[in-house]
Formats: sequence, structure tokens, C-alpha cells
Amino acid sequence: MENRAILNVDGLVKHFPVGRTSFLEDISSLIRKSARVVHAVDGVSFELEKNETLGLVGESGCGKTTLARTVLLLTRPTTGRITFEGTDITRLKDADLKKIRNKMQIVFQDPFSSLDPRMRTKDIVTEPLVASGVKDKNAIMKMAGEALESVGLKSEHLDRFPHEFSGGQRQRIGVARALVTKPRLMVLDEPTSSLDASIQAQVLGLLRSLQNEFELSYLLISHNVNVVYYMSNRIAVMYLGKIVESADADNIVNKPMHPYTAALISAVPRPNPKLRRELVEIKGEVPSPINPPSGCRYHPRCPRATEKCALEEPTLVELEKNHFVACYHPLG
Amino acid sequence: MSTDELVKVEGLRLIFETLYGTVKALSGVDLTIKRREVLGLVGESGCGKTVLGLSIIGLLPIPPGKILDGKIYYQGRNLLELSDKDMEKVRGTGITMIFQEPMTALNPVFTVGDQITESIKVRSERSSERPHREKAEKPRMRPRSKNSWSNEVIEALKLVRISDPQSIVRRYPHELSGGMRQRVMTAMALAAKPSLMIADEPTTAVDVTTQAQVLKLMRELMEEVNTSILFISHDFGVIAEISDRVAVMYAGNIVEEAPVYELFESPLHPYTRALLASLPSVASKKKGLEAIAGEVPSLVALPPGCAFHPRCRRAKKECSLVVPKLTEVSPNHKVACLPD
Repeated sequence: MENRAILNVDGLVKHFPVGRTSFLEDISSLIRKSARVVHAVDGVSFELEKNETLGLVGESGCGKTTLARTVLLLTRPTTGRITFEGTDITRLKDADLKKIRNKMQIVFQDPFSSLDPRMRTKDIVTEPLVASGVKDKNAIMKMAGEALESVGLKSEHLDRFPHEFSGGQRQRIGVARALVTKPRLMVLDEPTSSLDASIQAQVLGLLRSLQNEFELSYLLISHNVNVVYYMSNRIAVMYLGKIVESADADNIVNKPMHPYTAALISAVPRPNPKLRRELVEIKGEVPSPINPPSGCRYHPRCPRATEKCALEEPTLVELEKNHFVACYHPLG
Repeated sequence: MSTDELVKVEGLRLIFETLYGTVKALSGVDLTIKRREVLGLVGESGCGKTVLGLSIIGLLPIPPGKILDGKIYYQGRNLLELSDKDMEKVRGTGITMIFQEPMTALNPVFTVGDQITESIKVRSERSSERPHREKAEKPRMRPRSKNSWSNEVIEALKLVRISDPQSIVRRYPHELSGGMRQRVMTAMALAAKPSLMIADEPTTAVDVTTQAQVLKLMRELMEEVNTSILFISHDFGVIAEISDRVAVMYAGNIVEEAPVYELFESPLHPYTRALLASLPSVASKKKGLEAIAGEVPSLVALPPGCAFHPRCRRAKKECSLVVPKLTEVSPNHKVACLPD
């Protein structure tokens, strides 16, 4: 089990300080010895196995993108450990980290803003290689050509600029750029949410076949439950900086045990009018991550909440095989 | 026009002259919106669904837009022939619209109450029989004392299930969540009890749990206020959830129109079928998605004949020659595809 895990995240915390709002507040935080912070990611642990896709789903502001960026050390975690292929990368110096970065890549959400409009495709795709210190120009171009080919673009596209491509093609370039360094782990941050339905299917199909071809592990982040379900082996549901439930994709969708997951799944519109079903309504709105509720963070909105939920924070417990739930009153 | 028809669009052709050529935004659209129904208008980005919505409510800037042909009937009158003055009376009273991004549609420097007051005021001016002032006095919005909100404003907010309207009226848009802003927009659009509300991707900018609430609210309000909704979306899931009937658009044309159950159960147009097969869902996980080959064509250079034929698996020779007409193939089910 241990050697199968390519990525191991343990107790990851990422807080962002909030800009000071008043002098008095500064004083009060000095006295309390705690500054006001956004609890973007607050104690998240998970494992990602080789050739596996872990889907991370949650609503906007739940911390899923911060988690993705922190896993890749694009921002440094506040505390917690990230072990990639057996190495604790949070302890590495920048120079050593750079050597490992090739093995971990990311595909961004918006293919319009994540490609430099003044760079040609070949420069975009080869930049990771140049940055990692590959000198041999011929080798670089060969690898770029291969990467483009594997995402379904042709070598004639090498000299074009991003604006000459459609959204779907741009996202393919984004994938090629990630693929060119032959990574083991790929973080996909909402890879299709800015694409149309017919193009989304193309890109999802591509990502799936690349995974098989190159034995990639995916950490897929999306607010779209359908996309996450389609792509993932396992799904983790995030709410206000915490994972509240994680299980096999089928179990999350068909047998959710956390009340939040159940509400989230019931809200997903499905392209079948026969499946219009009773909505599990959620009271109120997502609280601020600056001042998250005590105990279980979902308790103010939860229909099953009791006194205990407001006082003590539930931890992830394996209620069924491979089905982890952080709730005192799980469903089912 | 039969009595249960509210809006009837006939052969609407609309272009934009641009530096890059003529954009054929709508090429002969036929569409009927019935009384008291939610008509879902679904299509991918750039297919012309927003342009169609805007031209019904007369908000499309002309020029650069240019209507070549067609009619839009509403209450027996062709909206395209109305004077600006008369159209203004229809807009905001008989037909209203809510937009995709409530943050940009609401004015950030005025409170919610001020903005709803403005819309109510403008509306009462327009619907009254008083002679229309040539240079309409710009509705002024002034800061007001705390509790001077008219009942109408409070009622409008109550209608959209805002539980504490007295405190919401005093807030600015940035103080509200996305779902709340969308409710405020809906309140403004429905305060006039319009006969048609055009909702252009109203839930695209909000989270799924909020989206589900907004959709549920809209269905309920349709019954309460007795209005029809033209619901524009790119999301087949949302469309399935809210619509009574559905019209599918592709490259400036309606390619299929049917009652919602029939459309999802037995789609007839190859594009509708392919799109439904390309959606990730519980059923598609095992067998994989069937992507549609190629890309949506540019509206500047539409392929000849059926615009979908270059991507269509069932295309034959005639498809590149003849533009198929939207024809009724079974009761209430229309499709624009050449018969086999």
C-alpha cells in the first residue's frame, strides 16, 4: 500500500493573513496572539495512488484550488507534510524542489489567461523544459512535437499564437505543456469548466487516454460533480477547508453519508427530466472562512446537527470500507 | 397567432457587420413561446441564444446589428415595427430580462432598495397612459431615510423569498451573496408581473446548491406571477430541470424543438443526440463519452447547407446543399434535419 501511493498529504494547513482593517484590531490580535487569517485549507490529509484519479469537489471558496496550489508548493503550506514519491517535499530547498517539479505538473482552468498571448505554441510547450535546464535544442523540439501529437495537435500548430486556436485547442496546448516534462502527477484545476459541452467531452476523453498511456496520477479539482464522477476513482468532498467525506466515486454519488454531500449531490442538475427529484435544501449560506463555525463547520446549516456538533469537531472515520466520513450523525 | 401563444418569432435573420466579415448571428429562427410555460433555449456558446433573447426584448444595438428579415409577434403586434417609444413600454413591463452575472447587472453604488424603487418607478411611468415625455426625466436615486421603502419594494423582495427584506433593502450589491443578488434581479424583473421573463444563464455564476434553489424558486414564481419564462442556458442538466419545452440552437438556428420529456427521451436531431451523449453522467462512466468531432463553425463562415453537416455522422450529400427547415415530425416535436 505504502509504495503504491505517489502522493501523500498529511495534515495540510494553509492560512492566509487578512489585511489589517483597523489599529484596534491589530492590538487585539497582538493580545490574543492570533492574527486574523483565512482558513483556506485546514488540516487536509489524503493519498493518491499511482495511475489513480482523485476527484476533489466542493463549492467555490471551499479551498480546493488553494489545496491544489499548495500540494504543488506553488504556495508554501502553513503546516503539514506533503510526501511525493517518498520524499517530503515541504522540507526541500528551492533548488532541490526544482528537480522534482518536472514530475508534478498542473493544467489550469482558463486556457485563455493561462497561455501567454505573445508566445508561440512551441515556446509555450517547451518552456518547462528550458526552465528545467534542458539545453539540447533538437531534443527539446522533439519532445515538444511528441507532446503536441499526444494531445491531438499537429506540428504545423507549433508556430501559431494562442489567439489562433479555439478554446478546446488551447486547453490541449495547456495539457501538452504539462505533459512535456513527462510528469508522474498532474493536478487538473477545473480543466473543462470554461469549455462547451461538446469540447469538454473531447478534452475529458483525451485526459483519460493520456492517463492510461503515460500512467499518470490525477488530482482533479472541479465544482462539477458530473465531471468529477466521470473521471475519478475516488472522490473527496471539501467544505470550508476540510474534507468532509471521501470514498469511491460510486459511493459518493449513490450512497453519500455526510449531510453536506447528500445536499450537494441532490443539487446537481441532471440531463434527464425524469430524474427531477426532491432537493435536499441547505439552509443559509457558506460561512466566512475567516471565522469558521465551531465544531463541525457544517453544523449551522445541517438538518441533523445536535449540540455535540457545535462543540466538537468530527474527524474523518472509516465507517465502511474505504468510505471516510467526518460526521457524528451520518446518513444511511 | 393562437390564443395560447405569447411570442412568435418568424424567420428572424440577423447579422452583424464586422471588420472580419458578416456574422450571421441568426439565420431564420422560428420560435413560439406559449403562455405560462418555461421554454428552455439551449446551445453552446456563440450559437446565438443570447442574441435571440436580446432581440425579443429589443435590447440589441442596431447598428451594428441588422435585422434582414423576420417578425417577432407579441400580443398581436410585430415588435420589430414598433417605434422606440412603444417598444419602451413593452420592455420592463410586458417583457423583462435577467442577466447572467448579477454583479455586473446591478449598480454597485446604489442600495438594493434604491434600484428596485427605480425599476418600479420607471415602470409605472411607462405603463401609465400619460403622454410620454420626449426627454424622459432620468430617474433619480437619492439616499433616503431608513424606513421609507415603499410596500412595493418590500413585496418584491418577499416574492423571491427573501426572509428579511427590511434589512436587505439597505444593503449594497457587494454585501450580498451571488444567490441573493440573483434573487434581487429576479425581484426587479418580476415586480411588474410581466407576461414574459427572459432569463439569460441566470445560474451560471452561482454554485450548484444555490443554483438548485434559484431554479426551484423560478418554477414556483412562474405559477404565482403567471408569467412565461424563456430560459437560456448552455447546461442540459439545468434545462432538463426547469423547462416545459426545449428548443436546441446550433450556429444561429433552432435545430430541434420538443416537450422536455420527449426531447431527452427521443432526441431526433443528430446534434441533440450527440450533445446528450457527450455529457458526463452516471451512465456514461463505463462506456466513455462520445465527443462530437470538430468545432462549432464560425458564424462568419458558416458551412453551406445544414450548418451541422461537417460534424454530423449521418450527413449525406444533400446536407451540404439544402438548408433543412424546422418541420413538425410528430405532434409538438419539430426538427430541422433532412429525412433519411
